[in-house]
Amino acid sequence: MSIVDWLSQITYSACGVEPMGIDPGVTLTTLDWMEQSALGVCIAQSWGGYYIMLGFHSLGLAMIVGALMIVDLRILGVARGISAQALPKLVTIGWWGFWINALSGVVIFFSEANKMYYDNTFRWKLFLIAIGMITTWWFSRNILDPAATRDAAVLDTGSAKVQAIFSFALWVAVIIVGRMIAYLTDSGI
Amino acid sequence: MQEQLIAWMASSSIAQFMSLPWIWPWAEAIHFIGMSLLFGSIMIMDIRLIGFFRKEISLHAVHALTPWALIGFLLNLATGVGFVMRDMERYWPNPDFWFKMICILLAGVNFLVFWFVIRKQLEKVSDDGDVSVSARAVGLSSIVLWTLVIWGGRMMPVYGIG
Repeated sequence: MSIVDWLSQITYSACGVEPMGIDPGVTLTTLDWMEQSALGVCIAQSWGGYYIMLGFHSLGLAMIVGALMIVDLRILGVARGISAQALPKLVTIGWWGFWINALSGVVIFFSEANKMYYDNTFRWKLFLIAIGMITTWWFSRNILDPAATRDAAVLDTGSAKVQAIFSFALWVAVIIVGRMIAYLTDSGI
Repeated sequence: MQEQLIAWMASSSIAQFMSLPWIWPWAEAIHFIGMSLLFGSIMIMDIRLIGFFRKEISLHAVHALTPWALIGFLLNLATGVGFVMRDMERYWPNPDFWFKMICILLAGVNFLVFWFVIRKQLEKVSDDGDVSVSARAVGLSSIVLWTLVIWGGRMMPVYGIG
């Protein structure tokens, strides 16, 4: 038995779902393969599996957007007692949230791969997240890290404030678009 | 009594407003934005109170985030009241809804303990100082309770309709 079969069996028995019988002669598309894999079937059919993953996805969201919103607010003048040295660490908390959500997001995707892949709202969300990741990385590299290690005055520049406003608005947009996936199901935006 | 309450809520003008096209999805989006603002500011205050980032985050300055936690909470209270007014029929029999409400209540009590008891203790502690075990316990229970609130909120469809 291959390691994949072994892991599949463990997954099926752990979530109490009967294995899917797949005709060995059929070649599946990648999306169908995801949905019919042990992971996809168990998330879709087990008791609570889908919502447990969404639970992690919500906690990760609160970590990413929460931490980055506070970093943005700090640059815009809120709670100035939070030092420049603290900001890269708060961004690190945000990245932990990001990885929780990348992982839970991939798992959720397996359970509804066809529906999500062709959903324009979902594509918009992924696009905005990609922009958010690049912006956060750029923001850290050019503003937050230099401010923490060399000169905290970098935080008070106009460029830092513009980036903070952009970052705040972008993550709010990610939440709105993400939430609308449930309501704009057919054609997307 | 319970039926009358639910019927009254469903016939209220708030419930009618919540039934307008696209109001419910937008209220959910705002509920998630408020959640991030609330959880983010509380998480950072609790992390410092528990004892992390002592050098980087001033014990006293970090509590300037309290109003932002409050803004997040009020956004979620307003949208949450909207959900409950329109759909109490579905929330009432859902044990997870009551679990979430109890966690919010406990988190509120925990905040009052912080505000009226712990805050006075902190006045004697320096910006990078260590706080008492009771203050750390309040920080830890705060982050745990708000995590359970998010968890309980997201699990509701498992225990009830929709």
